[in-house]
Amino acid sequence: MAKLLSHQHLSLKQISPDVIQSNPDNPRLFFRPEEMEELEVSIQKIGIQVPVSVFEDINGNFVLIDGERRTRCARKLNLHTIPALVQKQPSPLQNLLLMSSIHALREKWDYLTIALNLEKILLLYGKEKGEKPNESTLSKDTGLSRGQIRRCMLLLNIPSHYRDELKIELEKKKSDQVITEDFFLEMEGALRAVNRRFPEYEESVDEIRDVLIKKRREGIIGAVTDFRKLTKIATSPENIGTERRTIKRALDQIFNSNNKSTIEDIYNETVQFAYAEKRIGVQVSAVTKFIDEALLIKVDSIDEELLAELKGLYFKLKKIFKD
Amino acid sequence: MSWDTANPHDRALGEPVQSFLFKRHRKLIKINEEIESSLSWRPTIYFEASEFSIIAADVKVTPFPESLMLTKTKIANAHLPITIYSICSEDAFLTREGQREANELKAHGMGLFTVSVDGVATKQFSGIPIINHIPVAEFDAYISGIPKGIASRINDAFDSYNSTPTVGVTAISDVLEGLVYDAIGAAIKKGWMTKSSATKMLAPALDDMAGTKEFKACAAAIGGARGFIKGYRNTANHNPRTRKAAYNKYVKCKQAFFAGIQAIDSFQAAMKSSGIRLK
Repeated sequence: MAKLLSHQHLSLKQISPDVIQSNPDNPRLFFRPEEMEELEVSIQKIGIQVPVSVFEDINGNFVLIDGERRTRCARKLNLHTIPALVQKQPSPLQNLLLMSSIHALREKWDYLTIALNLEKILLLYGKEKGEKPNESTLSKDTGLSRGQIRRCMLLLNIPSHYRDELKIELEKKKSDQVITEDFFLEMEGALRAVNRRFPEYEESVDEIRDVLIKKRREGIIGAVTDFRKLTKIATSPENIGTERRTIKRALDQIFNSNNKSTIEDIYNETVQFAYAEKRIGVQVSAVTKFIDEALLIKVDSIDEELLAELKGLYFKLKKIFKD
Repeated sequence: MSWDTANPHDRALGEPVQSFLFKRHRKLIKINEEIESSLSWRPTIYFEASEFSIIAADVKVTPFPESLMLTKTKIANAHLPITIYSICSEDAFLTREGQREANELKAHGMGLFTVSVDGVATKQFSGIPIINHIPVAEFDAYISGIPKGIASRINDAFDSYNSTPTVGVTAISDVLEGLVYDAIGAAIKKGWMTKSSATKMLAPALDDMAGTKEFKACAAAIGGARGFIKGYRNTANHNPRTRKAAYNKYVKCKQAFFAGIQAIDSFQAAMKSSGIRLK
């Protein structure tokens, strides 16, 4: 990143917000009115504290790199000038990377915004450097973590009409959003796990998405983290040895729009106990291993509290096996 | 400017109100443009309702957010005859908080448009030029000592004022005029004045009162009423020729309304002391 931008020379100027043009490559799509209201009040009270970033193009126009919301508020407040850091025109790829880095470090964009920016970066990277960057290079150049990049890729892979649905939702106040980015991220992760193990669902994945979105709107899917239980259901044949046909029946219920059972209900009915058993099994193994090691050392060197717990466990087990 | 560069939220709510206002006023409506260079506010839409009166409407999330209060203060200091409207969604208006904010907006002299989900704009209540605005608490303090019946008539005039200040000034003049003729009627019954005074225009009728010996002690109040008629009675009918004149006229409306209440109060109190109880 530093190498890419090393030739940039910055100067601080006072510029009229009316002569600043929006960056055609700025993927910031959503200007939530509540956030604009807060910013407007803040600027009315204390002014613009952080300069916007612009570059001067070959025609002498100032083009925004960072500060779209501040510039919009400044116009709204009829400010005659605002502070701006001016730099030379970057290449299209540098331009995108600059915007991405600024927002990864300071002002968080929505994931969809980052994803759309990333899509353009990937395209330009291929053109400018002849090859697509790997996840690690992309992470270094954009300032995004690899996890963030993966989440963006998940959003880029959903069909466009779902992205449009998400865009409408993102215009709303955060507390009013039902079909959120997190919803899509969790759902897509779970559906990937399902499709990998039950490829028969792949053909109807859009219908499944529609059902899950409907169930979310109806409140049947209460928390987006319920999808993690869906993943656990789908992976249970390999993890805990559940029969595939039992899981297929459970998945059919989840993907049936007329079935009003929650994912949690179906999880509890099918695999919850088996997962609990597995978890306990792992813990028992750990206790057994510890006891084996403890036998090699003196028992009185074990922490008193732990020893008391072990004794309690001993009496309980003794009672169970005696009965 | 056009709607193309506006936020989708501003456009969704601003455009229906723009159509609403255009249908009624047939004026060029400007979008996101400055009214005056010195005024640090660009309303979502505005137009010049008359040569010296501006109606501006701003899209907001709720009826009366903090930014609009700050804007009102700026306009009050800018000496411009601007009427402010807030534009918000019908959903935001219908919440309990929305209702509370709408009442507060009204109390500050601003109007409200709401826009339904299907894009229909409704004017919930009108605003008045900010420079004319009289806070309710200030008005209540002014009429606190006035008899109930007369206070009720002044209240009606205040309602008119809050819709159109110049009409409100005419209305307060009418209240004073009614009281003067009521007093003359009572004086005729008492044999203090002759019937001819009741048919005269207001100014000569007041002159007749001033010349009546039973009203000698009321000279100051009668003079006050005469002064009000001379100074403010025709405020509504005089068209300003310059923006400054317009500002003065609008400021005069507020002064005139208060002067009218004062003249009424003094007049009824003076009549009461001379033995005529006005209701």
